[in-house]
Amino acid sequence: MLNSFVENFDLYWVAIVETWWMVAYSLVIATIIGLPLGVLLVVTRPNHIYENRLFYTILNVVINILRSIPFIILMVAIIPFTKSIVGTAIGIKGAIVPLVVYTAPYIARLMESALLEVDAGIIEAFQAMGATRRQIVFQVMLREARPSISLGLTIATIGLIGATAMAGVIGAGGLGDLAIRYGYQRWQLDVMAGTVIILVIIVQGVQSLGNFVAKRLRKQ
Amino acid sequence: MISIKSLYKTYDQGGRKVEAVKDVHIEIAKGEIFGVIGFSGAGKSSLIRCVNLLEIPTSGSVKINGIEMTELTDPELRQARRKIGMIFQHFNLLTSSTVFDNVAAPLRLVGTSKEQIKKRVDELLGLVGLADKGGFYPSQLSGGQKQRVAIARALANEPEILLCDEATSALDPQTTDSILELLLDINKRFQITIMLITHEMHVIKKICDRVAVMENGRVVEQGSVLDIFSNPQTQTTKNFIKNVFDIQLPENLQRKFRQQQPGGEIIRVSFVGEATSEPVFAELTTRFPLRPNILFGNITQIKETTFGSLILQLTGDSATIQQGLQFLKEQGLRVEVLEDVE
Repeated sequence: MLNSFVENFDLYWVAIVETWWMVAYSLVIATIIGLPLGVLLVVTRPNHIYENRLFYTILNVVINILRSIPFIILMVAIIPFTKSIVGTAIGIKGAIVPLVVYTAPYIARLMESALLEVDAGIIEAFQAMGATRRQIVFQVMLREARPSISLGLTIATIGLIGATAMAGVIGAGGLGDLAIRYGYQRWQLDVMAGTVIILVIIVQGVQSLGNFVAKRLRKQ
Repeated sequence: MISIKSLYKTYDQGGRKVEAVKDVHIEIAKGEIFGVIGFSGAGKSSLIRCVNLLEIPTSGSVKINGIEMTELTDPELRQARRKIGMIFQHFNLLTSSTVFDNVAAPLRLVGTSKEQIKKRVDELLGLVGLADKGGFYPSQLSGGQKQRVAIARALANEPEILLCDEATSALDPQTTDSILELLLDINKRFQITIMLITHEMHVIKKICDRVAVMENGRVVEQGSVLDIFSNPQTQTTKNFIKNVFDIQLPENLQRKFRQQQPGGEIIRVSFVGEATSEPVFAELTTRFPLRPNILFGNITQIKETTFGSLILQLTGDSATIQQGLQFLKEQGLRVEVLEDVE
């Protein structure tokens, strides 16, 4: 097992780097889209600071629709869209678009639940002291929710790592692709096991890091 | 300072109308501590939120310093709110910020300079007795300390009015007293007008000048705390007073005393302030051939005034009793003959 790992080190290393880039790009872009959507899901709901029933209802439904499509189907279904944006539907580039479309609504929901945890009384206190709605979003809600936001992003990252494995199907590369090609198609059990072990270590690491950050923020 | 007229607040709860505040009129003078007392659901929380428009009144007028609050634009309202501090039952501090940053928050909202913030926050923390706690987080403080932070925060922009929403209801009696003393101190020092809502008569008794009693959205009684205490008109008020200041003599005891000593009168004598320190009853017995038998007594402090009440049985012939009662009235006491409870 160890021998096989050393022998195939380059193979693993390339896959790790590919996975890293897919996750990093998709996570950053999906957060840039998902976090504001999460904020909107909270502040436009009834009795909140930017109450707008129509907008809230539409956003809610759209996110639910996107969230109900399995990733593997979504990936294939949006190939034309992917091509129009990055010019290709395969490889890392081709994987990032469906990964973002898949993860952004997920992050929106995670951010929504993180922001809903912020005590309504604190928001009321800031309204009473004459804060603008923008100040309430940025200085109260996002600030108070930081520990939960960090845990939410941890969950999203781990989900994303899982999704990149499926992106192997469209030849995106990465650890999932490695496991499928070598482990499943060629029945090289040692490579499959090696990939799984690496994934386990990465997921553990991400979760521990997320917990650590949340704890630091919540230490208070 | 605060003038509330014909105020109504109606909520629409799934098509069902709930009238939380009905036809409320309240005038609060500058520098006054005004209390609103009521059981939960009486509408007092909606009422206090209508003052700084956290709740928008359904109809009626809320004027602060002559300015109609319900007609302000959003920026004007924010400006006005900066001069109205508010504290809450559950403190509502930022859990992720230090005590210093919590107190600094309202100053940062208006873009105060760093040096000024430092100076002002240190001053405020000194005022509320937390000078050494600036670097702590709210979770490291006791309930009373958290409320002190909230008070410091509410005072940051030098408000003219402080609204207290059940500010002591989550605190134990001892801490409640220390917070009330702090509020009284702030009221005297800065002439801040305080409007508070509570369900504890103790709070009213300790710091309020005037009080309104609320029930089912209406103010059923209002006036000086002393008047309300000494002469409650409604059953609700009587119920509140009973908890801190019971001046009732159980009926069966009254009956027993009347049977034992027929021909006398059972009277209630109430006294306020200085009258308390005079030996009135010694004087009564030397002047008239009357024998007072003290059945029940109570004395209490209402803000800074002493208020006492005695129930006693006077025996003697009825003409002398009348003279005695007259004498007691002349001494500035309130005298009430209790009717036979049959």
